[in-house]
Amino acid sequence: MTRAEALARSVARPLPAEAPPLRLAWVRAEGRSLAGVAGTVLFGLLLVAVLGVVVFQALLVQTQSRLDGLERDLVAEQRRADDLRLTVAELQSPERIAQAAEERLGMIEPGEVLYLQHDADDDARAVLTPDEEAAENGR
Amino acid sequence: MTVTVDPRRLRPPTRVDARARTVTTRRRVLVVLGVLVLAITSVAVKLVDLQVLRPDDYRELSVSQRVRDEVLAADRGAIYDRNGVELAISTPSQAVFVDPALIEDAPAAAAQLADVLGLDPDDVENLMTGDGRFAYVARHVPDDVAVQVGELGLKGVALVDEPQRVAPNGELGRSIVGLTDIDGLGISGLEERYGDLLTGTPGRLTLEQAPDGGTIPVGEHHYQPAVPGHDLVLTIDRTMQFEVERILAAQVDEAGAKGGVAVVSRPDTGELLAVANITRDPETGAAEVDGNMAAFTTVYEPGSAMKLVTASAAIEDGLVEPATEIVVPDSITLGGAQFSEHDYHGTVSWPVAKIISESSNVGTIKLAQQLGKDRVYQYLRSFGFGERTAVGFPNEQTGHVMAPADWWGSSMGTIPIGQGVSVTPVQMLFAYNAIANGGAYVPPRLVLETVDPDDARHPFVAGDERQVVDEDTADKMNLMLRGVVKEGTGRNAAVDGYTVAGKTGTSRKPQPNGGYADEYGITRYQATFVGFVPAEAPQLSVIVIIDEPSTAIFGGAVAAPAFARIAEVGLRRYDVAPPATDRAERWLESIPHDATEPVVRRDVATALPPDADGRVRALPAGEPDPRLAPPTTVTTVTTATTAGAG
Repeated sequence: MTRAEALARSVARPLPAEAPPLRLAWVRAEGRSLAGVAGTVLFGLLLVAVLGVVVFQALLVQTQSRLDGLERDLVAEQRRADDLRLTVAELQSPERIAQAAEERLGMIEPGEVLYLQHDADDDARAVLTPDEEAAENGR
Repeated sequence: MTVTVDPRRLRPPTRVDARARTVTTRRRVLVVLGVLVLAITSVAVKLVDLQVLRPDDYRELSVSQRVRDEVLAADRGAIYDRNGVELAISTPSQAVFVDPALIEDAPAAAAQLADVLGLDPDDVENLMTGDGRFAYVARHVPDDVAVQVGELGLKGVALVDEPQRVAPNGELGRSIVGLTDIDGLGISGLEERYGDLLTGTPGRLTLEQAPDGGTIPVGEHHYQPAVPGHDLVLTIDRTMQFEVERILAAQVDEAGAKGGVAVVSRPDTGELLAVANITRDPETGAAEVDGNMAAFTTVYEPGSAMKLVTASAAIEDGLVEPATEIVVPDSITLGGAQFSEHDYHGTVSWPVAKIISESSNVGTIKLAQQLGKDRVYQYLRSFGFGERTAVGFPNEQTGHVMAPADWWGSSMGTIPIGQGVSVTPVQMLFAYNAIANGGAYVPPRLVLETVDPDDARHPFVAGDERQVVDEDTADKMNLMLRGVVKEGTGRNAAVDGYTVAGKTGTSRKPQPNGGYADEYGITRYQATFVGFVPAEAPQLSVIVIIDEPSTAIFGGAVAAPAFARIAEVGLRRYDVAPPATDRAERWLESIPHDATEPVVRRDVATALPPDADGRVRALPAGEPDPRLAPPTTVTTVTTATTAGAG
C-alpha cells in the first residue's frame, strides 16, 4: 500500500459519534517487567558484591602481608633491643669501667705504682734529663 | 585470493556416507561417555579414599601443610641489683635441630650445616641419620649464624627460639646469682632458689600459612602469648659487690691465704649488700671469685668472734656488768683440757669489757661457767646459730651447735670461745647485727622485691624479727665492742672519723681427719673480723673471714684491715655521716675507761662470786674457787693454747 492509498483510507474512516473524555493513564513501558528490573538490580548488586569481595580479599591479603612484615620487624627490633640492653649492661659493668680507666685513661689503683717506659717511637726530648734538656735548648 | 574446492566435496552425500557418519558419531559418543565414566569413577574412587578410607591422614597432611603450630619461648625473669642494674638477663638466641625423617641427602646436608656451624660433618651426619624425629645440632646459636642456617634451606633442619642466660657483669656476684643449665633451668644460687618464680609460661601460636610463608587472612589463628617469669630485685648493690670482691681478693693475696669470705649488710633491715667469696686458683695461684656461696653453704669454727654471745648472755642474765672484774689466770683446765690465753699476762683481774677487748679465752670461759651449759646453748640458738636463715639459700648449712646433753667435759671451754661449734659466716654476722639493732635479731634478706609481668612490684617478705637480748644489754655490748677496735685486738679495723664496734676471731680449722692438725701435723687457721659502723647508729655491718692465712694468723692482723677498707668504701658509697648522737650514750660511764692497761693482780688466783655491788672480789692466792669442781687429771696440755685467740 502506497502512502497515498493509506492516506485516503484514513480520511475515509468515520469519526465516532461521541468521543470519550480524555484522561491521563500510566502506561507500563513495554518489555520492562518488575521482575526484570529486580533481576537487573540484583545482578548488579551481586556483581558489586563479588567485586567487593575480591577487592576486600585483596585488601585483606595486603594488610595481612603488611601485618606479617610488621610482626617480623617487631621481633627483629625486640631482639635488637635485647642485644643493646646486654651491650649497655656490659659497658656499665664496674669491671669493664675499671679496665677502661686503666687501659685507655692510664689510671691506676690506689697505692699502685706505675713506671713509665719509653720506646723508640717516643719523642726523644720527652726522656731527656733536665741537664740534657737544657743542653738541648741551648744548642 | 583464489579458493580451490575439491570437486568431490561438492558431491551430494550418498546413503553409505550417512550410515558411516552415524557409526562414527556413535563411537565418539561412546568414547566420550567412557572417558566421562572413567573420570567420574576416578573422582568417586578418590572421594571414597578421601572421605571414607583415609580421611584422617589427609586431614593431617592438610593441616601439616598449611597450619603452623609454634611454641613461643617464655623469657626467664631478670635478676637486678637493688639499683635496677642487670645481674642476669635472658637474650635471644636459637637452637638448630634436625628431623632425621625429613632429611633427604644426609651427607650433603651435614657438610653444609657443619660448615656454617663450625662442627664436624660426621657428627652432624650421625645426628641426621639417627633414630627419632628430633635431635639438637647446636644450642644457643648467635643470630647471624642462625640466619645463615636458615638461608641454607635444608629440608629437615630447623631453628627454634632458645633464650640464653647471660651475666653482663661477668663473674661479679656469680655465687649469689648462680647458674642455669643449657635448658635455662636454675642449677645453683638464686637461679635455683627462685627457679619457679623466674621461669615463665611458654605461649603458643597457631595459624594457617600460605605456601610462600605468609599468613592466610581470616584463617585459623590462635595466639596465646608467652608469660615471662617474674623479675627478682636483690638487696645486693653491684658496685659494693665489686668493691668487696676486689678488696677481699687483694687481702687474700696479701695474707697469702687460701681464700676468703666477706659479707656486708644493713643491720636494721637485714639486707645483704654484698656477699663475696674468693678462692685461690690452685693452678694459676690467682685469687678469684668463686661460684660457691660460702657465706651460706660452708661452716667454720668462728673462734673468739663467738665471745659476743657468751658475754651478752652473762650480761643479759644479770651475772656481770661491763665493769665487773673477773680474775683471769693465764690458763684454765676443763674436762682434762687446758685452755690458755694467746698472750701470757699472768693472773690479772680484768673487767668484762677488758676480757672482750683483749679477747681473753680464760675470762670468757669463766663467764660461761657462770651461765652454765644450758644457758650458753639457749643463747647460741637464740642468736640464730644451729638453724638456717630465712634466706633459704640452696645448700645453706645450719651449722652445728651441740645440745647440752652431748657436751663433753671440755665443751664448756671450747664452745663459749667459738671452737667445737660450727656456724656460717652469715649467721655470725647477723648475731652481731642483733647487737647493732639494740638486741633485735633481724633476719637476713637477699631479695628486696619481685616484679611480675605486669610490672607490679611485690615486696619480699623476710622472716620474723625477735628480741634476743634487751636494748640495755645490746648497748653495753656495743660499747664493749668499740673497745676492741679502740684499744683491743681489732685496732686495724678502725676507720678514720668513725667509731667501729667489732670483734676479732682466730680459730683453728678442723681437718678432714677429725682433728685440728693435718697429716703433716700442721694446724691451719681461719681469721675473722666482724663488726658494724658507725657504732653510735649502725648503718653497715661487715664480716671478713680469711681462710688459712700464711703471713699472720690473727683476725686482727689479716681480717681487720679488709674490714676497714670495706667499711670505708661502704660509708662513702652510702653517704653515711658520723652520727651526732649515740644510742648507747647512757651507758658510756659504765664502761671502764682504763681498760687499756691491764690490771695485773699477781697476788690472786681466782675470784669469789659477785658481791652485792656486783663486783667480783679476788681471793688470796692459793684459795680454791668454791664454784669450780675439783681439778681433774690433765691429759692434754697443749690442746687449746691458741684456740679462740683474737
